[in-house]
Amino acid sequence: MNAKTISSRQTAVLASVMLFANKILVLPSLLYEYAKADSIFIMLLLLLAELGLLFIFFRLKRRFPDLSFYQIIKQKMGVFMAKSLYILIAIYIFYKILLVYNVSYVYFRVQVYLDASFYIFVLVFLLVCNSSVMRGLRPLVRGMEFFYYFLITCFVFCLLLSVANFNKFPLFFDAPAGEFFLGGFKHLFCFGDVLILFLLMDRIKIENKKDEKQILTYTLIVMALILILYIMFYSIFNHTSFVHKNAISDIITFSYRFTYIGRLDMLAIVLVMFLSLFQISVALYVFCDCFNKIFPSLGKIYGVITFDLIFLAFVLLSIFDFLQVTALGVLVVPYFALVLQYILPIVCLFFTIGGKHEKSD
Amino acid sequence: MKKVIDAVKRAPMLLALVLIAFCFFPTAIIAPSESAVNAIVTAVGLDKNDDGYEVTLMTFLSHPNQSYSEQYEVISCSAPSVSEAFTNASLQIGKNISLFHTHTAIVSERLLAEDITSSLDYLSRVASLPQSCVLISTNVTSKQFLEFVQELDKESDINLEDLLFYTSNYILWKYTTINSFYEGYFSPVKASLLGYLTIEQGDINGIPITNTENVVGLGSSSGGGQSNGGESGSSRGNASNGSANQSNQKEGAPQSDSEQSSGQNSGGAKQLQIVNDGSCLLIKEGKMQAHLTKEQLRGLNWLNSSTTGAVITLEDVSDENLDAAKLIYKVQRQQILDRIEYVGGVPVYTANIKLFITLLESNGSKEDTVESKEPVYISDTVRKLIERQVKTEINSSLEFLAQNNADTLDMYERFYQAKRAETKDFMQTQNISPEEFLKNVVFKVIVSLFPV
Repeated sequence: MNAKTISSRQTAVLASVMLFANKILVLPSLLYEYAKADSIFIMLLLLLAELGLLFIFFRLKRRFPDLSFYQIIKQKMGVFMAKSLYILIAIYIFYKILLVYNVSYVYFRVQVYLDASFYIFVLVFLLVCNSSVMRGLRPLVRGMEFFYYFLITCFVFCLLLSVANFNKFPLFFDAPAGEFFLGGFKHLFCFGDVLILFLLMDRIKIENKKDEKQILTYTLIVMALILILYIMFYSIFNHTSFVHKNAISDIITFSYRFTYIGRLDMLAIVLVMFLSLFQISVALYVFCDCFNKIFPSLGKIYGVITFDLIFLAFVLLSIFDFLQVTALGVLVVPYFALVLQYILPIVCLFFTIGGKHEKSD
Repeated sequence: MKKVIDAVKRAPMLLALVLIAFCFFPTAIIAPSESAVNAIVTAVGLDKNDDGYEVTLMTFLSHPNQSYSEQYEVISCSAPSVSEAFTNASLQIGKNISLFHTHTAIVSERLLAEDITSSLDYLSRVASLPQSCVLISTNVTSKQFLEFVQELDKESDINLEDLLFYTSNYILWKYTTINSFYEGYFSPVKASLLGYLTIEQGDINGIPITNTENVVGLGSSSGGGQSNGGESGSSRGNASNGSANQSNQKEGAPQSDSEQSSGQNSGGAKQLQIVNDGSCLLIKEGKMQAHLTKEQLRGLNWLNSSTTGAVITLEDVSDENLDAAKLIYKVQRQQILDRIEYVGGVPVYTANIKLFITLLESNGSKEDTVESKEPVYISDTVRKLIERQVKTEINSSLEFLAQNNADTLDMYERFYQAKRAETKDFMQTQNISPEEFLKNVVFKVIVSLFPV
């Protein structure tokens, strides 16, 4: 295996970790405002779409085993289109990082670091993520691989504890169809994490169906866990679901009896901490990769510095805080998401029709 | 230096670690202790007064002391809004108010005369509070209640948290947290139950305190009984006389003159007591609607499979083995098999309640047979009596709920979930709101007894 490529198992871990992004904290409550408990079906629908994207990815990878996503677009649509799309993708990924950062920041501020200075939080976060990106994709994914079972265990444990708080099944099929689809559309920005695999496809090693099956299995397990989280969340909180902005923590701290066991939400805190760092690091890596494709003569370090400067400007000048990021996400970003996450991969699907396997120049 | 730079290049994570440590360590070293900066509030009381809101905080103060006991201070502040009252309290004690360890919120009955959601709004925004903070109501002001609890803790080591934990687990069977209140409030039936603890004076089955001087308005120093210090119209009768009495008094009937005078005349002679008899308040659209007695709550609990430990008392039981005996059974376990259906267009709820019971006590005569003393003794007569008692209690509770349009059993949602089309049709043809649905449900109860 090439030093720059990652194995199918590592890809599976990467896909699984990225699938959790933006779904386990604030999204259940945001969706409830639109579709009530039917948000479970929005989640199911969009996770199935994610699965569809994964199959498109497999097909594209089989057809172009050695080419990068950029090269495929360049070959089929030209340099201008490829660069334009990559600029859009870089902006979109930047937004996703801002979103994960803000959601985690608000979460940690509330749950742990009440008095932690904002600057320290930014500094720590940037240092760790920059460092992870500079080390490269493989060490980063190996780190994820190392913690993977620990994270899944934490998640499963949170779900098991939440069973004790189970209240009653919520009322399903109660939301109007318009609200249901609007809710799904407006929160598209929390999905489409398989796009990361497309952008890293030249660094992913998938040799046969067995590898694909492995990625699929890991992804399905995480999807099932996320769905269970949503079912538990709405079953526990029912009519007050819109109030609870930290789903994974709230489902275990809901019960009065657990206050006796102290900070039981430490489980969720550790889980969110690792997941956020991994998700932001991978997204930052992809951002830098896009940057390098747009400006091929500049090295990775320039991508990181550019990101840091823009990010610091946005965050320190409070251009985008949690509320603004989520408001922007609901208003503008769904259109970006629709084009980049769904339409672009579907267009790529047409590239796979006919012809032989194509290799890099 | 070159070696250091090389090491950093090889492991940039090390640099990140050093920088993080560099940022955190100095601040961690110079930062004062958490307890010096924060006042840890364990219980919050909300009242209404002429200034607006009065917030009372039971605050843990971390003084070093020789007895190693936890010391609590009760602090009160008034302001036009709850958040301003909290800010004032913070100014008063010179510490930040930390609500992370707050396990109880108390609201007085006076506050419950209006929709309490506006009063609870501030607390509901504190992330950790709504889920785990128990919300209870009391007959006196929250301030008096917390002052009493502080004394109780000092004297008997019985703390509010233990008391509420037991109540929520063994009596109410439903956590009356801020969240569960909101859940009822936002539900189609807009009703929820709230735990109710009272402070009373007289011959009652409560936990007393001897030093009542610190309980402003209730203590012997103020010379008043509970009716003086407590809120108007919130007085309560003799708990040992049974909760049905209390219910009547709750519903507006004042204490009898003789009772009032005895309470006032006795002054400090009769101790103040906290009474937790398992009764609760029915809250409708955020306001107090009615007082649910222990018996009425028990009637509801027969339809709740998580109930265990209920006690059934049968008076004057005469059968082939007993002669006018008093039998007391304990329900060890309860199983409910229910069915939701529409029969002839009418919603019918059938509950097959299986009670696994043990004879705890038998107070009969000498002539009673040995067989009747067995813990598994259940004769046909006993079966019929228990069945009748359970059905009567359920009936009484359902009538109460129906009268108040308070479907705390979630019958509307259960029918809607199980038989959506029929329920929609039924609601349309009857032209009723979800709150009125319970009135129209036909309950069929089958009680089966199993000795264990």
